[in-house]
Amino acid sequence: MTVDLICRRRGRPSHLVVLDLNDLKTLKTLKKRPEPQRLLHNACIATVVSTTEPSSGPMGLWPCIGRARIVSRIVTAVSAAQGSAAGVALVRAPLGGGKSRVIDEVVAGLVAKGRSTRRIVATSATSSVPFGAVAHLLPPGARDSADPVALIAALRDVLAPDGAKRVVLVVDDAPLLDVATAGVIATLAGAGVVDLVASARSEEPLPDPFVDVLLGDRSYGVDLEPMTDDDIDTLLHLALGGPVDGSVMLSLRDRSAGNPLFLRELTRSALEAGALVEVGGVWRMRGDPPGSSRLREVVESRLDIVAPLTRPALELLALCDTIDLDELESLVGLEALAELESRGLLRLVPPDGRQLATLGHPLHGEAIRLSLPAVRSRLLLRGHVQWLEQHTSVSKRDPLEFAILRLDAGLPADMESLLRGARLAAALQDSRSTLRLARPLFDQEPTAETGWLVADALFQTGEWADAFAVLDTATALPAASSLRVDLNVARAMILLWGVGNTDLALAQLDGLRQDPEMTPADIERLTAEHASILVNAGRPGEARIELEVAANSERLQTRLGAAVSYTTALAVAGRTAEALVVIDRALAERPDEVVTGVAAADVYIVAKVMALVERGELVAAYHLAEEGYEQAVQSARPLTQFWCSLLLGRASLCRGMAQTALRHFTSARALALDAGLAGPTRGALVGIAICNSMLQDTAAAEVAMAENDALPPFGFMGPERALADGWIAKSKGDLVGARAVLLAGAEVAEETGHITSAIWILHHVARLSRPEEIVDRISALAASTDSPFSHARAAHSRALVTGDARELVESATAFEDLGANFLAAEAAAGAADAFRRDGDQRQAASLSIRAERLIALCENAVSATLLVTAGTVEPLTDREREIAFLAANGQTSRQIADQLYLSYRTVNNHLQHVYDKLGARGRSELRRALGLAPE
Amino acid sequence: MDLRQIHLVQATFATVAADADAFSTHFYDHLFSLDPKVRAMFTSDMTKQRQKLVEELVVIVDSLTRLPALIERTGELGRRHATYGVDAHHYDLVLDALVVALTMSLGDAMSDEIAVAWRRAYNLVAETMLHGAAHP
Repeated sequence: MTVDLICRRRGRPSHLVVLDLNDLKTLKTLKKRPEPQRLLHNACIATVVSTTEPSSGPMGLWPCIGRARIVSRIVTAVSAAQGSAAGVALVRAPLGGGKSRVIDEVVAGLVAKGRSTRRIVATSATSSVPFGAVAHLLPPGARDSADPVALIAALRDVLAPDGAKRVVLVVDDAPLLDVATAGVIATLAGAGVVDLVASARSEEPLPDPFVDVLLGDRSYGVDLEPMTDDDIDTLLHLALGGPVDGSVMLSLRDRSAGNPLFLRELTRSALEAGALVEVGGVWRMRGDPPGSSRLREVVESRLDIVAPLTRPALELLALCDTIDLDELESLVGLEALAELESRGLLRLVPPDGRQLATLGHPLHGEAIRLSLPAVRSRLLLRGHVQWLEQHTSVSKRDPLEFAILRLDAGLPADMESLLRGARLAAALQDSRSTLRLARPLFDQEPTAETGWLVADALFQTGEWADAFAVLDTATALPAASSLRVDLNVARAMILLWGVGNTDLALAQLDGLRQDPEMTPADIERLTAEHASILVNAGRPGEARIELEVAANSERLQTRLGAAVSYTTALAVAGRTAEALVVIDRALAERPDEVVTGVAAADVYIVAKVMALVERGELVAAYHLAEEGYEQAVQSARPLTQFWCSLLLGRASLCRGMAQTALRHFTSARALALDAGLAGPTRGALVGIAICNSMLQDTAAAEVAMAENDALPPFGFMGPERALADGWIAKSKGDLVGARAVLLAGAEVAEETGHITSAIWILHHVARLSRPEEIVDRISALAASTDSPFSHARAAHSRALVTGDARELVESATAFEDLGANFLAAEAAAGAADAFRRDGDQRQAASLSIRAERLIALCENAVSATLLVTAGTVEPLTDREREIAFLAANGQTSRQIADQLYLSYRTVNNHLQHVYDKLGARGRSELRRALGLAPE
Repeated sequence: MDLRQIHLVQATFATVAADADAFSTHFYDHLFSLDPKVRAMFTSDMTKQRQKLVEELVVIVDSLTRLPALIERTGELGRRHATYGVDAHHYDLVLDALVVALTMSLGDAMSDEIAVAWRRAYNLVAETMLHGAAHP
């Protein structure tokens, strides 16, 4: 901060100094300098947040949120005062409650109304010095005077010069004002010579002279409440410069209890520690935000007001959250506790309770823990354990809680309790608790089981490398055969999801299947897991039979686990009715209570959505996926959140809503990256590329595919990348290349058992050019499925071959019934062309209107279309279309001739036909007619 | 507010914008019923005013994912509204009217989740408008 920042606004340089700051620290620095001091002497000071456009980004801005109504009321109250009645307002809030910011905004509001304000800064350093807060305002002669009457007169002259307009005195932190200054100000305000705006901490008494004037009837008093959830969300959105995940808001709200200062310090320290990160355009929290040293200072200054002998009580509360009041009394005595309570540092829970105490604010505990040496913590906890052992009976203590407490106190803990707790946490899929309980067990005395518990929890949180290390140790230890299966499955999962090496993952399980120690139940489980990996590895066709067997197993866990993968495999094979039967049965059979080895309900929802999408029940799929997403958010399961986002994108894409789909895919990408899912991110990126192509942003589509290519392989739905590659080639005018990648993709899809994908891809080929070449293949594939969506795609391909108007109308209806509006629009437009060709203008017009109506349902009427038909009397031949695209992309006839092995003259003839048929003049009109973005 | 909430706002707005006139009529009817004095603040023809509301919402809802653009837009909007005599408490009335208009336009499709998403989005817009108004 330099004097340069003192700027002139509205041509009143000597009256208004605008400081770009968030607190008064700079002002205090300025005061120490001779030159600004003179400047300040004559100036009226307003601090504003920022005079330029707020710079969004991590904490570039920390605006005052949710206080505008209060500010406006204070400004109105103060400026409405007239005559001998002064306008007086008092803002009260606890430490860090945002009162200084409100005062700043009030000053800005008053200045905007043309009022002059004068700020008086009270500090603890000047609070016991008479006139300490205003000494710098006094003329040099008066400052050294020992005569109080002369001082008061001089101060009056400075604060309220005769004949000048009434100023508003602004006193931040009024309790720190020395009594002498407070006396003068109170007198001036009482006489209506100045207006007064002051702030005070809630729990601190006001200087005596202020009591009447600030707490009287004429004073406008405001107590600042903690920030609301909405305001915290808005503040974080602005401070971080982007949307904030709900979990971040909740975590910061809980720890700050809506206190703006604590919120800011927590956010800042979380950013600095890398705990708060932006992934895919959304801010997320990894683990707990750490405390900061600044936070510690702030809270310490608050705690320093109490006698040191009360400290052990605060420290113990910081370590244990809630403590029996009797125990605290035995520690520090009842009087000390009463003092803590009166200072708001300790409260009873529940509020009307008698037995349990907790700290006044969650962050007090944070700060105390930060400054608590490790040995001292241990000592306090030992005392706590002792007290509990003497005063409570074993049956009243939660064995798990007590075991953890003994562990933290450095005492031998009951390992059996810890292990039971770890198992329960693992069954509940609470990875963080599992780690907390199992890790010490494993570190102290590694066993195969604790190793598995730790490794699996690490896998769930995406810490692959650590999980591998633990598995290495655990695998070498003796274990029952079922536990060896667990260990190997855990390793295979990491290889599949994290490393992206499916061959190794499969080999991991294959090796064990040959082991003579394996029981029939183990073999059954290994086979089911092996088949599940095959599905995710992109080979659902190979897995179907094994999964069918496992889905009918006698063991509940095997049966339910296999049902999920079996549903998926059936869905992508187009056997969607069977898929729905399998998954509905599993959902009905799934026990409500927690059973080890049975996945949470949202995993089943994901499989069901998959079956619904492939069947073409797009609206139902969308709603169910939304439900699954909500459940996953509630129970903090990012993996399911990812799958639901991906499927929401897929359903939207099939409905022709490219913009909505793009948003879901973008969200899915962020979730996948955040959860450390390397391979599955591919699905989201392919979706992003397809949507961007449809929205005519080829550059963005290419960026997504480049990111895709840098990821480890992931086979599930992998062949669908051909759709993205095909779209990109097409939008560059390379119809030949587009066709080639699509055909190759369809072949891979068919080979690997992705039958619905193969049909989707072949349908693209048919829409692009020469449908007659693929019509038999797509018809045969569709006949092997029970999916109405696949049937509609095949029927549309056949209609494209015959060009029959009625068949095209039927296609339009079939797609519209499924909610696939974009395809329906394409079919309707094709039908309109066919009718026009047949001379039936009435039908042609009606179908054109229908196509327009359907396109309007697709969010974006300018979406690129694969078919080049709309509005043409006579469709282009395939050759003409090829040449048209090349020409539209700027190739000369000579270049086209070379590329297609045609003569220059032939190319020109074709081009002439193209221009005639499309009624286009010039290249830009040609681009428009072909549905390409303007250059 | 996460991407999904932004998406909910954008998707539901697309739905109500299909019958924009009904939506804006609900909005102003409810706004004026909350505080009849507000009516006098509108000097122009209400048909045009309704159009302006929807046009402004189109731009704002669309720029929810682009914060700098949003702030620039809402800051200016807030400054302009301040000159019309719009005060902080009017912002509360508008939120109320907005939620009622949404509920009437969406019918059964309205949900708590949608209401929360809109409240968050509105808070972001209102606070940045108020910031613009307070710092001209």
